[in-house]
Amino acid sequence: MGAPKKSGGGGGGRVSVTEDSDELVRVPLQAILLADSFNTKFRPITLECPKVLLPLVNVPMINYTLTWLESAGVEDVFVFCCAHSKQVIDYLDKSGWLSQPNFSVTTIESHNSVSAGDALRLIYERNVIHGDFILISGDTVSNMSLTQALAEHKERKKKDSNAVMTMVIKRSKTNPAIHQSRLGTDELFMAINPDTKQLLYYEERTDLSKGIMHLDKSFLADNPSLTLHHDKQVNYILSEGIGLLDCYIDICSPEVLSLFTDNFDYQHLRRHFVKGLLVDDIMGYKIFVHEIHSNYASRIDNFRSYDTVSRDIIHRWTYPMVPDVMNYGNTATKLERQGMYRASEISQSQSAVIGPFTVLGFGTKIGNNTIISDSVIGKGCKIGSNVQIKGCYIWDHVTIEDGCKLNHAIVCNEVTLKSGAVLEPGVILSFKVVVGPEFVVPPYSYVSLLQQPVEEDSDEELEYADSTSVITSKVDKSDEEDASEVPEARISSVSELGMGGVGYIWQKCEGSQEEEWRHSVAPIPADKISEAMKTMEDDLELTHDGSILPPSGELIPDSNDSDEDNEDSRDDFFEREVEATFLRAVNENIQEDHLILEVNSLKLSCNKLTADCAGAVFYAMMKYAVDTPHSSLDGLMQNVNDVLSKWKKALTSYLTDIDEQIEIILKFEEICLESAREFAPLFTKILLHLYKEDIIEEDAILSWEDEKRDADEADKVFVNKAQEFIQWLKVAEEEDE
Amino acid sequence: MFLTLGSLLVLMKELTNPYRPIAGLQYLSGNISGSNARCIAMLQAFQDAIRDYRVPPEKTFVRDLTAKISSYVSFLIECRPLCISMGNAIKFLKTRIAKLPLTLSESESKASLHSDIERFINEKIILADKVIVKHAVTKIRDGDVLLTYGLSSAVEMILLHAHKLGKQFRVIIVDSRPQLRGKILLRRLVEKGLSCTYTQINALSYIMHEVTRVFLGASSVLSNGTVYSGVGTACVAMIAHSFRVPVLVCCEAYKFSERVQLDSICSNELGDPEVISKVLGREDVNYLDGWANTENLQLLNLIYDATPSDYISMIVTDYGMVPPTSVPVIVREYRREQLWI
Repeated sequence: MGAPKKSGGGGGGRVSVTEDSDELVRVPLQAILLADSFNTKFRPITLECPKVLLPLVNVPMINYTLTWLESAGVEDVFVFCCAHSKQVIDYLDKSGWLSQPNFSVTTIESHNSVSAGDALRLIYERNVIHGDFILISGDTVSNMSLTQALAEHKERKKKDSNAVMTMVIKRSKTNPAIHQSRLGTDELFMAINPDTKQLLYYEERTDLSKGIMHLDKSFLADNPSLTLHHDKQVNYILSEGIGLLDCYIDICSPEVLSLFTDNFDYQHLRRHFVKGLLVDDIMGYKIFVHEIHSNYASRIDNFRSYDTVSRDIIHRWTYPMVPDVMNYGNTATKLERQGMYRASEISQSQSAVIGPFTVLGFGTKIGNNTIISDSVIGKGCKIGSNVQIKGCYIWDHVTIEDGCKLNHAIVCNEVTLKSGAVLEPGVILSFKVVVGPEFVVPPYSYVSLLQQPVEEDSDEELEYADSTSVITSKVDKSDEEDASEVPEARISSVSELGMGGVGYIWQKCEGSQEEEWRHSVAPIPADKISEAMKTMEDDLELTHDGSILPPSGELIPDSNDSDEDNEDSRDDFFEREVEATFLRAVNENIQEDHLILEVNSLKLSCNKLTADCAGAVFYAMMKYAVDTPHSSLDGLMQNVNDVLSKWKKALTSYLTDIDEQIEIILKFEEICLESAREFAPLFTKILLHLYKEDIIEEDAILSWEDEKRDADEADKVFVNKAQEFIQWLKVAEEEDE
Repeated sequence: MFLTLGSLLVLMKELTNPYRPIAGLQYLSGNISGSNARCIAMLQAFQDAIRDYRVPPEKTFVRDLTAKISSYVSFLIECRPLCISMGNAIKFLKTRIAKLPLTLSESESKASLHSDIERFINEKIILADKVIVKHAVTKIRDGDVLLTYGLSSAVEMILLHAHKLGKQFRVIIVDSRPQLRGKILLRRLVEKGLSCTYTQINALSYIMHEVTRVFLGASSVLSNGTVYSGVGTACVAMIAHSFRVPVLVCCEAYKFSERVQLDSICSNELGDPEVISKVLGREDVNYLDGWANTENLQLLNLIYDATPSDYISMIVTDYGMVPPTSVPVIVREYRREQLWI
């Protein structure tokens, strides 16, 4: 199980890192750890406890990040605390991080920073960063070795002082729909130059509707061998169809800090800073990426990724960050068969069934006939009899009375569930909530002792700033006046959480319902998965049918108008289908009869006329002729001749009437005018060829000319071109008479 | 792999039929593996060959076609040694050709052979698998932990069917280098939502504690009850036996053979030694680079091994579930039945 032990590699990394930086003055490798996520995705829990201290498989998150930084050879870490900074500092002090030899942890406290941008500006003012540093947030779990990424970064920096940042990315799961739902993050588009690994385009988007990206033509023209990555397979997807995942681990040069200071409006690291750098071509700063393959790196951004990362830790993908290796002050945890982790002093009834992939914390008591599976139970929990717990995260000192049912929920410290309470999937119970007996907490609901803050401003960052001040005061109050506040809450919430229940069920803000399943700990409902799969398939179909799109990951600058073509073709489903059918027939050597049969069935299903079929088949043939490689006009003509002679039967079977033949000529005109202008000079030649092959009769040509007689001059271009031929036909006719 | 390009070209020229070399080449490149898949591919190639076959002047259909088939078979053997199931299928085809009534015209004979082959594929392989699945599924109970080794089409079908029936069980897939075909099975099962554990054969004695049943596929079952299967199978069966875990071998009756074999060295197939000296994805494991120059080194990459009948609790075939001691009976009855067809 598990990856090879990393500690040796980590030690090695440290040595080489220091050697590298010895060149000028020996600068220890530094890191900035943002102990605040600057968003509200973990509410209501983060109202009372900073996100980095939330237990992840019974160990506060920040430990994972700090342990990794230490093993990766970082010597100097600045922990930036904002919300609940006192709790963070207290924790770091208590857990001994602040007094480690060879690994210095310094805390920087701020009460008025509302974003990562503010934090970095403050750090710049402190003037503590002297060399390259690692920028990471305190909720990242990784076991990667930084040695190579650092070496790459330094190498690039030497050559080009504008290479200020290296982002760590990872290939995501092969199935994009699964991957995306795995972490509950937004779709991500990245454009990366495959040779230099330079990041050219970065875009997060929340709307799932259509992943069509608009890029400048010049952008593609400048970067002929561009690889685009996207964690959902849509139009432009590319190399092996595997998306990339942003690990939110960045190696930065000191310039990054000054850049933040210069651009005081940069708030969000990705949304403002990265995009700002990419757009700004005056300064010419560049961002590169480093791709990791076998190592683990992931950030906990919302409840779903909390769930996913917890599972990954239990499944030991993050080795050595696993429960039996990571024990901070607690007693040792032992790994048993099938991913069972047990701390010591657990009293468990003989009749209790503890299923696979479960972690039991120190001193937990479990009653008779209780069934627990795929869950994490913290320390000092009391679980009664006949309780069913599945896929839950139960933190410390939780009391669960007899007969409760918990399904994919997060239960914070010191919560009490009275007997018979039921937690539906996706429920979050914040600290010290009490759920009354037999009460059913509805799915996806958030319950907290604190009332939901009123949303004053739609801007995320500002809203957070306002509420932090409110909340800190509130938290203090609740700490001090715990006893007095509880009865008050109880009176108001008897109806909300059943008899004797304490806490408020938060109202869902508008629009979040749609997305709640995406960010929740509960497994995604089956219908949502099938929905996602379906949209993905639809997208894929789009990609395949628009045969103008190059099949490989490389985009040719010429093809950048394919976007419009795609939109057009969407309107004309029938024509595209026929074309695809024809191409398949060519590629797989399908007999003409079968092709005709297939086109006929398409004709019936789309309710088309024979003339439409003729037009579509002819269009497909011409398209194929153009797409077959040719060097000159003669080559093209040869292609046309070949296609027409080979598939003549397929075409003629639709040309029973003179009307269909006229349709073909009109179609041909359209092709020459629009989709394939290469044919324009060959118009007369091909017309003659069609005539000679008996595909088009002279009557058709003559009545076509007739039809066009009254048209605009612009429409008559080809009639005029073919005038000579038409004249010849007329003469021949007269002679016959 | 086993053939130089030159000799291959000569063979291709000899075989005027365009279809045959393709099947052979696919064996060569390992595109078709697994004895059922190989057998079906071969039979289908024969179907095509017979369809395109023309009797040369002054030759009889039966004699010439038999000779032709023999030459094809030797081509296939050059590509990769035949497995026993293929040998049985060839024997069947040759008997059918020999028994063709002389009164039949050429086209009638061809049609008759075509339908015979079709029937063989349908009855002896496809239907047989369905019957095996039906039998074996009764042996899976809720809460079972099933262990399988490598990739077997029959075992895959059994597991998927049991899952479809809603049985609650867990699968442990044991795999071994260099082929790592268990990964294919793992992928397919996980996609269907089965709960799987994947491990290498070295961890077998650890994982066997949890197992309640072992399901294995087989390349052939010999008449002394010995199971001839992918290398490693014997080890799995032996460990399961010592842990008192029942071992069920799933094998279609057409793969049974009247041969008797006591060890797995005779008539085994040797794979490419190169693949065991290299580890996929680990460039740093290169201790054996340039080993070919070393005189006192021999790399042994066996493809099959023989599992003694003592370690096998039951053989699941299309004739029902039988103990390994009953194999000779089935071989005898099966032969007789084949004569009737």
